[in-house]
Order: sequence, then structure tokens, then C-alpha cells
Amino acid sequence: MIYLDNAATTLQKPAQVISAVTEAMGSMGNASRGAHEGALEASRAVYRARAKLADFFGCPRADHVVFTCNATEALNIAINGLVPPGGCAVTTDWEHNSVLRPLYRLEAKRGVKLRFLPQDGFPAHADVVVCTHASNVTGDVRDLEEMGKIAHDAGALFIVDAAQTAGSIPIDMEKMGIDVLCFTGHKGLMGPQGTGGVCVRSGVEIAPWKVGGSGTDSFNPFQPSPMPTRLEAGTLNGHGIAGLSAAVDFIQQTGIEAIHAKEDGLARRFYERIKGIEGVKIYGDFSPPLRAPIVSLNIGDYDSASLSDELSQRYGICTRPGAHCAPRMHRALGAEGQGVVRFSFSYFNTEEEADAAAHAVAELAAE
Amino acid sequence: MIQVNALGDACPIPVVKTKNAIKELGGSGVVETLVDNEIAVQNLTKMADQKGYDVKSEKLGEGRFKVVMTVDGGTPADSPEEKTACFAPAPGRGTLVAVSSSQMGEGSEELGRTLLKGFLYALTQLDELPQTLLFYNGGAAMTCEGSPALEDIKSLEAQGVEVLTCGTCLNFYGLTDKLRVGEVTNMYTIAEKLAGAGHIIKP
Amino acid sequence: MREKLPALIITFAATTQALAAEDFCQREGLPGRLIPVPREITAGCGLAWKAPPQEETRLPARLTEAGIQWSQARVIPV
Repeated sequence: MIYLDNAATTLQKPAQVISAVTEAMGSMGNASRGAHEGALEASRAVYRARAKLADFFGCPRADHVVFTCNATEALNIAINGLVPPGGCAVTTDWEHNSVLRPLYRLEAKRGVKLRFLPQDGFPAHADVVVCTHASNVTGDVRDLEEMGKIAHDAGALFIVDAAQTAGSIPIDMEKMGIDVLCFTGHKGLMGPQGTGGVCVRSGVEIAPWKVGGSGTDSFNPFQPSPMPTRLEAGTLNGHGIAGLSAAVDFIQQTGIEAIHAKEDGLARRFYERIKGIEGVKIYGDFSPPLRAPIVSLNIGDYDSASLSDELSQRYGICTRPGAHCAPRMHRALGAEGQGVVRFSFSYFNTEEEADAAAHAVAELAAE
Repeated sequence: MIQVNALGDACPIPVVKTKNAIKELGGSGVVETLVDNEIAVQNLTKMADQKGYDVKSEKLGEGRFKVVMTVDGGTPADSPEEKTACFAPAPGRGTLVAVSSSQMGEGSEELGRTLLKGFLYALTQLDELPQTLLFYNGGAAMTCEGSPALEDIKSLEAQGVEVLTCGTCLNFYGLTDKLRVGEVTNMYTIAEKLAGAGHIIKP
Repeated sequence: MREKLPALIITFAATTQALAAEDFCQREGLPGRLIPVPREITAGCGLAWKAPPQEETRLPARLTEAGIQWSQARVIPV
């Protein structure tokens, strides 16, 4: 099997991630729930993971790294906790449903005004600007520094969806002017599924989206306000977080630049080998030096689901067809009915695999 | 002693935290609260005065103050209906005290010195403290070594009162190395402060 | 049960701060360990740092310098 659906989840994980999870499952109590050794060990492991992630993303404070089970939960916390009723949110056509659906719901239920860039223009005032770091359909990367400046000029907080880039493209919250960074652990970070988080710049107060058990301040009828407890009701995925922590170690040891260079190299190698083939339509802009390792294409007007199925059945190549939860992007690409077939690469893919995929595309296009 | 950390807390949190600590003392003792803003110092001092606790405040450094309250067991417990007031002076429109001489009023020089010392002490006892103390000409000596009012001015500063002394005046009287409280200022700032003050008191 | 002896107890508003204090004290060679918060004290977080009573002034000051947000520090018998 050639696995090229890494934008959905990375299938091959570093060995130390797997052993960290296994080890944690034999030793970990409930973090923040008591002072016996089991609970303390869990608390310490979770704390170390926070500190590593804060360092990794340029988040000034470890206690402002909040764990969630994925980027969707992270985005729901950020969006629902920061956009006031009747407020204004600015976003783009590149967004995933994890950004769009919380916003559409606020629009319908809370009278929030939505503005899509660039077509709606930038309003004089906005409460938040939410945008993805890279499109999960085309792999095109957004200039966050520029977007952050625009957001702050309008008095808005800048929320970034890093689902497609965390672990694969360097992110520095401070340098890029990011107020809230939402990430997932199981894609580029190569950690377990069920991990992710929100990194919050200090001074940004997010109203809790879920409330409940905190292990502290139990007689308080409301969710305690100190971070990260404020946004972390319920027992954390300690076992997953142990794995995520090991994944960050792996990325730091390997070097995120080296990881990105390899992934990007594979994606561009694949692109170079298919771009001239007749009938192959490739989406996205391959001229900028910085891209997420994604190549999306169609062959003629062949249905993307059938094409993906052919790739899987005949060549053992795993890709992702359809709309990729990004309806506005597909509409913008004019691929609403057909969908597109997405090839996405990871650090553990090889040049041989990229070449085999290119060869398969060439054969199918010829048919 | 209970040390309370209220750094980074806005009013009324430092007062609430301190009150909780006093309750936990369960009798007499000392509560020492760390805060990072002058308004919090004023609010804590006011609370202590209302309760009859002995209170001292000290500026530890930039944005770092310590308020020490000594509670004796006899003070009545917290009444539930009492509110924690947040006092925040309107920026730029507060009261300014301009001290232009080492004496208060005209007449006997000896009496004038005693009066000024008494006046500066009395300022510390006001319900609402002035925003700024400005010292110039002969007044510059009041913020320098040997001043009889040094402790009172320091206590005002610790409660958030801005203390400014004219640099030209210090220089003229050869006191530049002798300044013991507050900051040195220039004529632009002096003019700005006087022009921007809500009230000016000239003793 | 064992006899209670005076100790410096530092409390925190959130577990993360307690763990940051543990991490800092261990790195800096400062004394103490994490314990469940004694019942005499109310605190947001269930963990407290317990250290010898003579650390009453030094330890809170060091934590403050390091940017670790503690809530209360006091010497009580535990």
C-alpha cells in the first residue's frame, strides 16, 4: 500500500510516539485529579507536553496551551468563545467546515455578521479574523503575518487554523501576530488521533465553550477562570498527549525544516511528473516556495470518487476524493460536482512512492 | 503571616483575595499582598483603613508593590452586604499638589517649615489621594536627603501617587545626588502636569 | 497519625502553575514537594508546594521572579 492521504491523518507514526502511548497506558493516572504518584505523573507528563508545544509554536506561556481532541474542537472553543452575539467575523473561501460551520451557526443563531475575503472587503471593525494556514484542498499557504496585521488594524483577534501545517511548516505565534492557534495532533505532528489544542496569547480571554469537571475549585458553581483549566473541562486524553509529546520531540530532533523539505520535495516531484500529462487538471499554485505537501487533481471530467477507487484497487494508492469538507473552496475551483482527488505526502513517504503515484496517474489519464 | 499574590489582578480581585486571606488568618496576624498597580495599593489601603487594620505599603520596583496589613483578633468579621469599591482616578484630571517652597504660607520661616511637614503628613490621611506631587524651586528639598517629610512622601508614592521633582532646581541647589523619592522631571512635563490637572493645590 | 510540624505551603490557582513551580524548583535546586492542599487552606488548585518554613520569604520571591503565578504562601502545621 502506498499511503498518500496524510492530510487526513498521517498513518505512519514515529516509533517513539507508539511506545510513549503504550507506556502511558500502563502508568498514567488522571492528570489534575489528586496528588498521588499516578496522578502526579500524569500531571507532569501533560505539563511537559504543554511546555514543549508552547516552545514549538512560539506561545509565550505553557499554561496557555489547552488540550482538545482535535482541531475542530479547538476551533469551536476559539470561535464560540470569542465572537460576541451580533459581532462580526471575517474569514476566507479556503476554510474547512470546522471553521465554516461554527461561524454559520453563530450567523444563524446569534446574529453574527460574516465577511468573506477578498470578495466582501474588509470591514472597518471586526471581532475576529479566522483563517487557515494552508488550504486542505490545494496546499496553498496563506501569508499569516500580513493577515495578522490586517486583523489587528481592524481591532480583531486573529485565529489561525493550523490543521494542515502544524508539524510540517514552522509557526511562530509571536512573530506572526497570532492570537489563537488551533491545531490537531494526528496530521503533520504525527501524534495520536484524539489530540490537538488551542494556544492562546496571554491577555486573550476566551469564554469557556464546555464546562464541567476540573479537579480544582470544586465548590465554585462556574468553570474556574485560570488557564488552562478554564477551557479544559473533563479528563484529558493523557495517553494521547503522552504520544503527542513524543511526536514533538521527534520533530524537534529531526528538525521541522528537514521534515518540510522532504515532504515538499516529494509533493513537487510528483507534481513535476504529472503536470504535462494531457487531461490532467491540477489545482493550486505551485510557484510560491512555501506550500503544504498536497497535490489535488482531476482527470478530464471523470468523477473523483471513481478515480480514487481505481487508484486504490489497481495500484494500492490511498488518496482522498470528494469535497474535503471545504465547500466554498470547491465552488471557487469549479469542482463542486466532480470533487477532486487529493494526494498528500508525509515525512515517511519515499521518492519511489511519489513516482509510482505519478506513473499510475499517467496510465489512468491515457485510458 | 499569609503572603497573597495578586500580581496581574485587576480591581477588585486584590481586595477580595486579601479579605479571604484575612478570614483564613482566623484571628490576629499579618497579610502581605503583592500587586502590580497603584490603584490596587490605594484600594487595599482604603479597605484596611475602613477595617481599622494597621497598613503599610512599599514600592518594590517597577510595577511591583507590597501592601502589609496587621490584623488584630478584635476586629469585627466581614459583613456580607459590604461592597468592594473599585476606585480608579480619571487619568489626567486628578488633583495635583505643587510644592514650590520648603515652607507653607508666608510669615515665620520656622512655622512655615513645620506647617509644610504637617501638610504632607495630612495628605497621607486623605480619603482620596492626589494624583501627583510636584516639587520645584525651594520645594525640591522636600524630596531629598534630610527632608523631614521623606517618609510621608515615600508612603504616598507607594500608594500610587506620582512624585516629581524639578531637575533644574535639584541642580541649582546642588541636590542632584540627594534625591530620595520619586522621579526627576523637566519644565515640559511640569507645564503639562499643571495644565492637565483637575485641581491644583498650592500649600 | 504523625505529629504536625510547621511548613511553608504555597498554593496555586491552576494545576499547571503548581507543575511549573515543581519544574522550576527542581531545576533550581530549591527544596520542597507537591502535596494535596491541606484543608485549612482554600485554593483553586488541589496541589500545593510544601517546603521548610525558613523558605517563607525566599521561595515566593523566586517563584515571582520566574513568572510563576502562585496564590498564597503561609507557614502552617501540616
